[in-house]
Amino acid sequence: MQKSTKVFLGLVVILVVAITGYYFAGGTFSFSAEDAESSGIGGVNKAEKYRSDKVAAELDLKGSEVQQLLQNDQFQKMMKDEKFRELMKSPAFTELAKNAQFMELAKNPAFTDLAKNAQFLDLAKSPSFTELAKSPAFTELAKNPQFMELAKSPAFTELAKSSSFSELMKSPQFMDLAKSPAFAELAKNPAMMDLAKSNKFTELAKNPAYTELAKSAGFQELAKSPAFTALAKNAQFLELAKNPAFTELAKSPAFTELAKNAQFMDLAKSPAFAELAKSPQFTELMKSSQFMELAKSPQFSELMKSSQFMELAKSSQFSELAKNPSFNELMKNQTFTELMKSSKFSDLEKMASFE
Amino acid sequence: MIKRLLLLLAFGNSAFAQLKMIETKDMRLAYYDFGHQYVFEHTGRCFHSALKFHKKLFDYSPSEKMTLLIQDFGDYGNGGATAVPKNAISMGLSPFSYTFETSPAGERIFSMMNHELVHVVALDNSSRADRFYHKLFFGKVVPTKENPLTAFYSFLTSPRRYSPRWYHEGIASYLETWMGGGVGLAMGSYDEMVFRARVFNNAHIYSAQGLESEGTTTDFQGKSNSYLYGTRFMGYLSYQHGPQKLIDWVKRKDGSKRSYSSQFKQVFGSSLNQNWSEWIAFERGWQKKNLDSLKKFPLTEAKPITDKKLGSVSYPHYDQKRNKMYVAINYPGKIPYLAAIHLADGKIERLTDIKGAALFYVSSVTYDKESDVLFYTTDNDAWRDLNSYDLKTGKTKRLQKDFRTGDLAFNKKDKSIWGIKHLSGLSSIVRIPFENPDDLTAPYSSTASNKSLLPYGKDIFDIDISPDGKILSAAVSDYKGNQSLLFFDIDSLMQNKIKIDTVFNFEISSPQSFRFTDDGKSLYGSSYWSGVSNIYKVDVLSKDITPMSNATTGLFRPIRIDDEKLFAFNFTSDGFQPVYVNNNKVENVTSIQFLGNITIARHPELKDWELPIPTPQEIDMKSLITNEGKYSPWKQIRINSAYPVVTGYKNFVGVGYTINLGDPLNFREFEISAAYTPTNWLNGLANKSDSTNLTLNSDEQFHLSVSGKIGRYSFSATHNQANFYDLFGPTKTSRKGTNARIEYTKSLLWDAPKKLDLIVGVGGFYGLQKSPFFQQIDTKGFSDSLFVNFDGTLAFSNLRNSLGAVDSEKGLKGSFRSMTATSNGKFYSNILASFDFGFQLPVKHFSVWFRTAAGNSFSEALNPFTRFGFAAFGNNSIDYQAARRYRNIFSFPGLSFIADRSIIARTFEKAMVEFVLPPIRFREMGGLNLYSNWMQATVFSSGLLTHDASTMNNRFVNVGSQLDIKIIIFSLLESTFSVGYANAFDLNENNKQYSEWMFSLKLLR
Repeated sequence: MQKSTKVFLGLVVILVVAITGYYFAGGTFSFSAEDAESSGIGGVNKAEKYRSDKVAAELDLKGSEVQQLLQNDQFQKMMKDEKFRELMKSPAFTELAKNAQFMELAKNPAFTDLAKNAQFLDLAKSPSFTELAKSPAFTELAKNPQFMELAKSPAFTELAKSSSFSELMKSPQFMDLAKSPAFAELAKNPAMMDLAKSNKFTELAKNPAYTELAKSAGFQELAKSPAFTALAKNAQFLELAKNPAFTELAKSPAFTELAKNAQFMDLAKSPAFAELAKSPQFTELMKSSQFMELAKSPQFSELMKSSQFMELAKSSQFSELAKNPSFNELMKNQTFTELMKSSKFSDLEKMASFE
Repeated sequence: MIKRLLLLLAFGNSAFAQLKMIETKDMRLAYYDFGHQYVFEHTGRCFHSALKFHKKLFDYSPSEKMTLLIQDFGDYGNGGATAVPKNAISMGLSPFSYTFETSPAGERIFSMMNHELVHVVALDNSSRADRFYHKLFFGKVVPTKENPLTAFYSFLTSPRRYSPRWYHEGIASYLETWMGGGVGLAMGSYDEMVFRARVFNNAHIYSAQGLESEGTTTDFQGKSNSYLYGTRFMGYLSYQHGPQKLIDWVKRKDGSKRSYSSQFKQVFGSSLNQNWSEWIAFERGWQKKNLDSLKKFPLTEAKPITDKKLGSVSYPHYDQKRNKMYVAINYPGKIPYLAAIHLADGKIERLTDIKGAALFYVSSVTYDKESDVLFYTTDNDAWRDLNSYDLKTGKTKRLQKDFRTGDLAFNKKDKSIWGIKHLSGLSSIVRIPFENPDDLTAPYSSTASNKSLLPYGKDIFDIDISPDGKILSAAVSDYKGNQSLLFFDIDSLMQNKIKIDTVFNFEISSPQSFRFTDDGKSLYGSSYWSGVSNIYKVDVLSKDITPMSNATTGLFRPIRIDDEKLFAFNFTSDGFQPVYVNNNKVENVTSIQFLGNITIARHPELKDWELPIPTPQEIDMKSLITNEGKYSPWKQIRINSAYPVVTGYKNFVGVGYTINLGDPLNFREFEISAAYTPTNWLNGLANKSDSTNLTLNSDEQFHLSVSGKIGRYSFSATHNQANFYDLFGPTKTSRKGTNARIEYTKSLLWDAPKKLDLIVGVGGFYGLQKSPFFQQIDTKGFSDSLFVNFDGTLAFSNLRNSLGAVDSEKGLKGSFRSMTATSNGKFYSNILASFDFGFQLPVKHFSVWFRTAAGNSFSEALNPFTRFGFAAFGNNSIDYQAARRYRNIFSFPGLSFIADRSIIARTFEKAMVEFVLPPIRFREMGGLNLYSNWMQATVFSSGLLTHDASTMNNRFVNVGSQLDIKIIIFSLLESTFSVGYANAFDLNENNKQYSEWMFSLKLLR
C-alpha cells in the first residue's frame, strides 16, 4: 500500500471520528441505572439476594471516544468498502488514531458535522488533503465553526484536493484567515474555489497582507465574481496582491465594484498595472468613484496597457486629475485616449505647474 | 467454540489475518480490529487480576503463556477456552443476552476473564505425572481421529479435559459468581426458576450422566443445562461441604486423581452419583419450601391456551383482527419457526423457518399491523439479518444482511423500525426509516442511523415505542448490575440528543419485555423483583408500578388482550406455555429464598473470593507489557506434540512417529509423520482376497506423510501412504507410490448454514499401483507414469436441524467437480455432480432424503483416473470417517468389496431415498465414563446405472438399513457403533442378489 493511501486511510478515520463525534456531542448517554430511585413496589416483597457492598471502580477505557466515530452510519457505510477496510488495517491508521491531536480533533462536534458531508468525504480521499489533515494547524483550524461550515461546500472540496492548497493550508497566516466568517462566505463561491487551486494563488494567500485583505467584506464581495477569479490566476496580479497598498485598495467598496468589470479585470492582468497599483497614489486614486467609473471603460483599459501612461499614472498629479469628473469624461474619448498613450503627453503631464 | 472461531479466522475475512498483539509474561493478547482497542488494557488488567487469584486459589502454575483473542463474531457476548494443545481464550466482545435473565448484567470482560480462566486452570493445572507426559509427548496431545492412540496420550497429558461439560461450566460459573460479588448464575433468578418448575411440574431432574446423555440434547434449554445443573450442583456442594472442597475437587495437583469422578470421591468421601442424588433430594425439598412460601398469598391462575409447551419464545405480537399471536418458537424436534398461535383454539401455525434461531430469545420480532408485515431477525447467534414476512402473501424477504440489530420495535407514526445494535462491544439505539432515499423500491434498506451510542458498561434491551411515537421505553443496565426501566424522548433521539425519564430502578432484577398498551397509557412487562418473574403494569403518566400476578414458576412477555385478561407465557419444565391470566392487580406478592444466599451466610469465606474490577492504579499494563506488535503466526509456530503411532499398510502393520506443529491460534498447522513397516509384520485381521495387498516390497517399507494448512491453502504429500484404519478394513486407503497435492479453498458464500465453497487443487502421482480413489480398480502398468491431476469443485450446502437432532433434518446439498489428469501428454477428464435434498416429516426428528449423483469420464482408456468404482457400505470395522458412509456417492451397500462382482464404470447415474427415523435417547445407559446416549436407525434404497464400453453396463438396486449407537468415553470421546445390512440386486443378471453385513466402530468425532 502506498503511503498516500495510508494517509488517505488516516483521513478517512478522521472523517469517521468527526461524524461520530458530532452525532453524539449532543447525545451523550450519561445516565447510570444506579442513579435512578428504587423505592419498592407496593405489595411486593423484594427478594433478598446477596450482593457485594464494595463499590465497583469506574471503568478506565482508553480511546473509547473513537467509538463515536467508528459506529457512525457514514463510517459504517464506508466500512463496506474493501479499500477502506484495508486502510483501517494499515499501521498509518493505527498511528493516526494514537495521535493526540487527531483524537482532540475527533472530539470536535463541528468537525464531526463536517465529516458527515458527502463532499468532504470525497475530499478526504485526496492524498494531499490527507497529508494536510495531519498538521497541528489543521487540527486547530478544524475547531473553528466557520471553517467547518466552509468545508462542506462542493467547491471547497474541489479546491482542497489540490496539492498547492494543501501547501497553503500549512501556513499559519492562512489558518488564521480561514477561521473568519468572511472567508467561509467567500469560499462558498465556485469561482473563488477555482482560483484557489492555482499555485500562485497559494503563494499569495500565505502573505500576511492578503490575509488581512481577505477578511474585508468588500473583498469578499469582489472575490465572488468570475472575472476576479480569472484575474487572480494572473502572475502579475498575484504579485501585486501581496503589496500592502493594493491590499488597502482592494478593501474599498469602489474597488469591488470596479473589479466586476471585465475590462478592468483584463487590465489588471498586465504587468504594468501590477506595477502601477503598488504606488500609494494609485491606491488613493482608485478609491474615488469617478476613477472607478473611468476605469470600467474599454478605452481606459486600452490606455493602461501603455507603459507611458502607467508611468504617468503613478504621479500624484495624475491622481488629482483623475478625480475630476471632466477629466473622466474626457478620458472616455477615443482620440484623447490615443493621445494619452503618446510619450509627449506623458511629459506634459509631469509639468506640475501647468495648472 | 474456539475451533469455530479459529476456522473463521483462518478462512474468513482477510482482515483477521493481521492480528495485533501485546505480550506480557503471562499473556499474549491478540485482536484484529482497531475498534476493539479501547478494551485492550482493561482486558489485560482483568486477565492478570483473575490469573493472580486463580494461581493462589488453585495453587496453579501455568504450563505456558496464554493466548487471548478479542473477537466480535457474534451479536451476543460469549467466551471460550481451552488448554489443549495450547492455553487459549476467545473473548466475544458483544453485550450478553439478558433474555429471561439467563445471564446476569454486570461487567462482562471482568466476569468473562474470571470464568474462562477457571477453564484453563482446570485443564492446565498438572501433577508431576502429567508433566512427565508433557515432556514425553512434547506437549499436550489433541486427540485426532486419524490416530486414535492420541486419545490415550491426551488423557495422560490432560486428564481433566475428559470431564463432562457440567463439571467445567459449573465450577467456572460458580467461581465467577462469587468473584463478582454475587453476580452470576449461582445467584440467578432464572436458575432458581428452572428447578422450581421441575419440582412444581413433577418433572425429572437429570442424574449426572442423564444430563449429559439426554438433558443437554432433548431439553429446550439445550447445552445451557450444563451451566444450570453444573452451577446448581456446585452450589449444593459448597453449601453442604464448604467452598474449599470444591476447589480441592477441581485442583489437579500431586496426589489428586486423574479422573474427575475419582477425585470427587477422594475429596468428598463418597461417590459423585451418590452426592448428585442427595442434591436432587435436597433440591426438591428446597424448592418445595419456596413453592409453599409463594402460597402465602393467592397464586395467579395461568389458563393454558394450548396444552403445547413451545420451548423458547420470542416476544409475541397480537393481531386483534385475526385473533392470533405471532411469536418465534424453538423447541426440540422442529426447526425453529415463526408461528401464529390461534387464540381461539390454541392451534400453532407455522409461518416460516427462522435461520439461526437463538436458544432463548429465538428471534427479535416486531409487527406492522397496518401493513400486515412481521419483521424478524435471523442468524441470531452470529451477525443478525433483518427480514420481513408478509402475512397476506406468506412471502419472506431479507431486508438487511448483517445489520447486527435486535430488540426491534415498530414506530407506527412513521413506520420506522427501531432496534438495538451491537457492535464492538457497545449497544446503540438505531433507527431504520421506511423509505430509502437511494432506492425507493426497497423499504427498510437504508443503513440504520445511530441515535445514541451507549458507553461501554451500559447495555440496553427490550425496547418498545409508544403508539403516539413519542416515547421509547427500554431496559438499561450498567456494569454494576443495576437495571432500570427508562423512557427516551424520541424527538430528542431524532436530533441525536438524549432526554431520559426514569421509570424505576429494578436494581439487580431485570425489567423484561415492557411493552406499551394500544392506548399508550400503560406498559406491561415482567421482573424477578420478588425472585419470581411476575407481571407488572406501569402507568405512563404517574410511573406507578402495579403487580399483576403472583406466579408460581414465572410469567413472561405479557400483552394486554382486554380489560379482563392478559396473554403471557408461563414457564414450565418443558418450556414456555401460552396462557391467559386475569388483568387484575394483585395485592400481595411474597418472595422466595435463593440457595446462594444461604450458602454465603453459612460460608462467609465466599466473600474472600470477591475480586475488585482492576484499575490502572492496581495493575499497570504498561509496566507489564514486554512486547507489542503484530501476531506473526510463523514466529509463533512451536511443536504442539509428538508421539508414536501404529500404521496399516496393505496387509501389514507398521510403526512410526508423528510431530504436530502450529501456532497458538492455528493459523498455521503442520503434521509430519514417518513410519516403517517390517516385511514380516503381517496383519492377521486383514482379509486376503486382494492379492495386491499380500506382498510388501522393500521399496514400500518406508512411509512419509507431510500435511499442512496455511490460511486458505492446504497441502499434503505422502510416500507409500499408510493408514491406521487399514489394519481393520475392508476399505483400504494405503497406496504404493508418491503423491503431493496443493489445495485452495475459498468460501464464495458463508451465510451459515448456507455455504458455497470453491476448492481448486493440483496433485501429482507417481508409482501408482491402484486408483488413488477406488481400491477395487487395479491399474497395473502405470507404476512408471507420472500423473498430474487438476480438479475444481463447487460445493453447496444448506442443512438444518432442530434442537435435539443428531443429524441434518432438512435442506439441500450439492456439488460439482471437474477433474483432469494428464500423463505422457494425454489428458483424461471426468465430471461428477451430486444433489441431495431432504425435509422433515410430521413426527419429531423424522426426515426423508433424496440423494442423487451422476458422473462421466471422457476417456475410454483405462488408467487410475478414468473410472469410477462402487461397492459396499464403506465403513471399516474400526473407522474414523463418517458413520453413514452408505450416503457416499461411491458406496453401494449390499455389494461388498469381497463379492464376486464389482461395479466399475465410465459413466453412472445414481439415486437414493433414505428415511432417517427419530433417535431413541438413553437417559441412563452405562456409567459416568462410558455410556451411550442415543441410537438412530435409517432405511434406504438406491438405484445405480453404469455404462462402460470397455467392461459392461450395469443396472443395480439395493435396499438396506443401518443402526447407529452413540457411545461416549470419558465424557468427551465420542464414538459410534454401527451395524448395517443391505441387499443388492443385479438387474442385468436376473436380479441376482448380493448381501452385506457391516459392523463398525467409528472412533472419535
